[in-house]
Amino acid sequence: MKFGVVVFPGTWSDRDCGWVIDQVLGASLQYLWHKDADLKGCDCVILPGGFAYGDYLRTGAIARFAPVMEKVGEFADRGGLVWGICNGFQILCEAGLLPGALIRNASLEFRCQWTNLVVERADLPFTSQCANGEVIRVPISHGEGSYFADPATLSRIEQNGQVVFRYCDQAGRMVPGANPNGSLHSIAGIVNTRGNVLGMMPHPERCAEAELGGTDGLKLFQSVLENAARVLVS
Amino acid sequence: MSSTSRPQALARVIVTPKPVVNDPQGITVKQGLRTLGFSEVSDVRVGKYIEVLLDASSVQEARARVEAMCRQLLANHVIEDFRFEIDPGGRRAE
Repeated sequence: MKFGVVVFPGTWSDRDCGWVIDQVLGASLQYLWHKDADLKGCDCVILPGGFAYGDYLRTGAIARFAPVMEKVGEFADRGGLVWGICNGFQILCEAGLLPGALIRNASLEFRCQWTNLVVERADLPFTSQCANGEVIRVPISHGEGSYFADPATLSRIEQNGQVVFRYCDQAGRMVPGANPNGSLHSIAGIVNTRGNVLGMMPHPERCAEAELGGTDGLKLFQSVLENAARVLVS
Repeated sequence: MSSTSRPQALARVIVTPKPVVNDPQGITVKQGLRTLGFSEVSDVRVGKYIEVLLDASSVQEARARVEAMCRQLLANHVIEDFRFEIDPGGRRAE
């Protein structure tokens, strides 16, 4: 099983993801340059956090034209695992691989802080090491992470059970103070209907070692490692 | 490559957050204006202004091309509305 980590100009969390995969998880790692038109046999492609192409025009708006993104789209269509974290989530929305958009935080502030997330889908290749209803602690670091979708899309996402993570308090309650950015329905992460494309604003790669204050993020990487071999890619 | 033989048009594109999208920048600017004494201000929306200089044989052609540009890149239809005007003279704003 091989993880691929995409590097765009302006990506900043690629080495953090790479460290977790290579040094903490002990798994196979391949960096993928944005100009690569080949995913090099990777079984899970991560679009990491950062400011790809300087967030010009809108976050993720330019990154979706990178040569590697055409291959990422094809891979997703074939059932391959694609995981967008922070800026990666924004890119997946701009590319139309996930519904909705991420807009400016309601506070207008860049928020860099710990958040609690309730896991609503523990049946996914990304979350199998978690339990449904479990609260995990994962940091965020973004200025534009407020999830928005029109009412029809939002109700479709909810009916389909596409919400994977919601911001909550320590007890798992969706209270206003626990929502750091004004996301509708406290949405922190969603998956496509097929369950192979995950987007999330919080950074699991920054809480995968006890030295960093928490290890809940490692569960997501372990889940992918455990399940990737069983994911059918046509 | 820009052709020197074809006439150019200038598109002035305005992109704004959809009315249903929360616009914290607009709210903050409104509060700033009211603090400065502009008590008549009831709403502010902050968007983007984009100029596109393009080769086009006619205003209709320019209009169709810019419409496609807005749909494919300049605006995100999930959160933004757009409108534009075409200046067939092809002059940039001073």
